[in-house]
This record gives sequence, structure tokens and C-alpha cells, in this order.
Amino acid sequence: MESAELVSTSGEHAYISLTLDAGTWKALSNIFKQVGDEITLFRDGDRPALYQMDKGHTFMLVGKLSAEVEGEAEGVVFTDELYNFVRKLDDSTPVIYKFKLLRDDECEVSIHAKGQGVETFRREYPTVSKPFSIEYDCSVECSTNVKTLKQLFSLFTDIATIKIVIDGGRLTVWSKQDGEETKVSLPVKATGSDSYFYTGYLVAKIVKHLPTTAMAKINLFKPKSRSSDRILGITAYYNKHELMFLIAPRIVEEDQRW
Amino acid sequence: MSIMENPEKEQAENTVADASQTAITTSVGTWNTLLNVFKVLDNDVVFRRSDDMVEFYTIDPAHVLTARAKLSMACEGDGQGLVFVKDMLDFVKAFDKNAVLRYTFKKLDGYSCEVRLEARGQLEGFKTFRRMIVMPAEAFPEPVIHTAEASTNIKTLKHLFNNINSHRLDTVKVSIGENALALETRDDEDVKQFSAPVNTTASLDRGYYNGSMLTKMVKSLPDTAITVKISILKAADSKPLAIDVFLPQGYLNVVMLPRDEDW
Repeated sequence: MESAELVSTSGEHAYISLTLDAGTWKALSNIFKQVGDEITLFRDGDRPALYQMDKGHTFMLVGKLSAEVEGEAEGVVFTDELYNFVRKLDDSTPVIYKFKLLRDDECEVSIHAKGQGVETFRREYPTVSKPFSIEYDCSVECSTNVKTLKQLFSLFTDIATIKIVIDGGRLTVWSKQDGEETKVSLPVKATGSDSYFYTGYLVAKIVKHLPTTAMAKINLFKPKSRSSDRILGITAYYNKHELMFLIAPRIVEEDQRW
Repeated sequence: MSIMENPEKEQAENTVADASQTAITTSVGTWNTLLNVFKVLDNDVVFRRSDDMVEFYTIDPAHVLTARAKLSMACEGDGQGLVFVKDMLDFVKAFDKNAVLRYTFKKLDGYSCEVRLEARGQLEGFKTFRRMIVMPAEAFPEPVIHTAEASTNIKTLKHLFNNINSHRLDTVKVSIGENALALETRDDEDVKQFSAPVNTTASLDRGYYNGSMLTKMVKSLPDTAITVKISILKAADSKPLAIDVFLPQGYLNVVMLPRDEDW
């Protein structure tokens, strides 16, 4: 069940509204919670889309959802409220999330599970971080499934610096810290080869919360302004929804690299 | 037959570089069987080669519980060393149970060692680290006189201990009666008893043990066990409890000292 529906149409207020089944909301809000308390929701053509940058400005979520969208307003998903509402529902229950702008500084949200109740609340319009706007080219791309990716990154949950290497049809994660060395790889379909340094526990945390049934694409992106750096892109495809995390590289002094 | 098809018996592809190091190679599934039991004892584990098998033992820091295992594993080199349970658990969790894991222990001097874990499956990789060598105390010997014995299967044993899992587990009384294994807990006047039909020897007995530790130990035993034997033993003036677990790859033996109680 993934179609758009209006809860009510006052006609006076700008709004944005979409419907997804509770199971999909659960999977998505579980990810949103890792990014922030509020996620920006907007209309991208005929699809709902979202973005958010984390408070530390080290990664950004850009999502494109596969559902029809009603309304034109830029809105906010309140992740805690959404998660607490949907977690009690059966996965197949259709849930409508509607954001309505009341004034410049006040909004109203209603979360409606058909036949199972509605929650409505008003909030101050929150200040939401804008995404970093960078132009970049893809340096290398590979794909695998999320389950294997989770296994791989579970080894790096408390590691500060990791090196991600895509080469020879393998995705390798490599750390050297406090006299300990860990290097683990898995076979992938890759378009070329490249490598860069990232924060291990940050990437591991993001991967840990991706829906396990999803397929994933890993990219190293070359920013046009700093062509020696690489931004890490992790995209998960879940029920035709596309969730892309862009993760900033870790600053590692030249003599500390390997 | 490839190493992937029969990791238990197949020799590792590489031989160890020098006599001061030992390599043990087996499947992640077999390592997990071993590690899940030994992690309850919260101590590093001593290993030594024994024919075409490897023996493992340790004792918990409070010296109440000893666990031993003798499993079929490919072993090369010096033939003795330490397994760092926590480090290994952190590494093997990422790999499927049919992946092959080679554990190499190398003594650097009298006090330190270098360990290399190398896994091959869908994921492939290694981890290397150095640790100080701190040998756990010698495991206490298993007394040979069994006053009472009960044989059952792992499912029955786990089910029986599940009954007392949620209770306040200070001391549990283990009784081997006629064709029954019984557990009893007491919380002030609240007495709870559970029993399961098992095969027992003619002689019967009972003993008192640390309930939470015993429950945790039973929970950690591998579901692949073929049979399980519970024995109350006769030591100098106490009655330790022994659990013998017979596995396709070998066996596990746990001995727990009793508590001085009588009710």
C-alpha cells in the first residue's frame, strides 16, 4: 500500500502528505532516527523526497521515496513521533503522514492509521540543517547486499580510522590502530578502483541501521572543488525507495596514511 | 575435497613459519561452539594439541567453574598456547558459520604473544594483535567417582533450566532421582521445583550450586550436542556437578564446585 492520500483539505494552508504502509515507515524511521530528530520532506517532481544533515555535519541523508505525494509545501518528518506511532501497528496498515504549515513559525502534523487512530500535534517550525551543496563526479561504484555489508562493517564499530578500498572486484575495509590490524573484504561488482579514509564507527552505525532486505550501492565521489578527497556514498534500495548517505572523508595526515 | 567442504579435518594450506607458533584451523561454526561455552567463564583459554584433536581448558576467575573441550581440528606447529575468547568472538561474528577460520598463536617472548585470525568464506580477511600472556590457573581435576548420573538430550536440559531462568537465582538444588532430573529454588518461603524425565543410574544424589552461573552455562551449550550427561561427583568432602556434552566434533566437559548448603 503506497499511495498518496489527503487527511483533510482545508485549502488555506500549504501542506505535504503521503501514505506508506506501517512496515515501510518503521524501516525508514529507524534510519531517520540515526540522522536527526527532524528530517526535511519535500516534493521532487512527482515523488516525495527527503534530506537531512546530521548535527556534526559529517554525513547527509538524501532519500527518494516511491509513493505519490500530495501538496507542495516543504515539510518536516518528526522522527520520534512517527516511529512511536507506527511501531505498534501491523506492517500492512496504511499510514498517512501529513505536514501542514499553519504560519511561518508553526506547523501541524497528523499521523493517521486507517481505522486505528490518528495523532495530531503542533510544533514550532524547526530549524533544519540544509544539505551541503557539492558538485562531484563518481570515481568508482560497486554493489552488494546490505546483509553482507552489515557483516563487514560490524568489525569496525569502535574503530576511528578505516580505509575503504574498491579494487579488483573486491570491497575491502582496512584498519590499523593501536598495533592491531584488521582487513576484511568481499566480492562485489565494481566499475574501477579507488580508496579513501573514513570514520569507522560512523560508517558502521549507518550501515547497521539499513534495512537488511535491501541491496546497496557504494560509491566514492570526487568533489570538483577538492579532487584529492573522496566522499563516500552508500545507497540502499528498499521497496523501490532510495536512501543515499553521503559521508564526509576523515582527515588523516599524510604520514598517518597507509 | 576442498577446505570449504571439510574444514574440520582438512589441513590448512599454509604451514606455520617456526616452532614457536601454532595454527588451528576449523570452521567458524565449530569455533562458535567452543567460544560460546568458554565466554561464560570470562577467562582466556589454554589449548594444546592432542593427537589429531585439540584440547582446551580454563577456569573462571572465582575458581568455581572449569570447562574443558576436546575437538577435532587441524593443528600445526608447537601445539600449545592461549585463545583470547573476547577478541575471537568480536572477529568471528562477522563470518558465516561455514567460513574457515585459522587461528595462529605465536610466542614473542615469555610474556607476550602475537595472534593472527584469518577467515575465508564469502567475506575474507584477517585481524592481527598482540597480547600479554597471562595463564589461567590449572583447571581442577575431575573426580572419577560419580555418585549419580543422568543422561538426556540438550533440548530437554535447556528446557528444564529455562523454567528457573526468570527466578531469583542464588542457589539451585540439583537432584538426580529415579528416572528424573529435578531442580529446586527457594526464595524465602517460595519453593519452586521442576523436573524432567531422564535416564538415570541406580544410585541417586543431590547437590547445591550457583544457580545463575549454572543456568548461563547450560544456555551456552551447543544445540548440536548428541547427548548430555549430568553427574554428581564425589570429591574430598564435596559434591561437584559435571556436565558432559558429546558433540559430532568431540566433547565438552564442565565441572562446577558445590555450595555448602543443605535443604
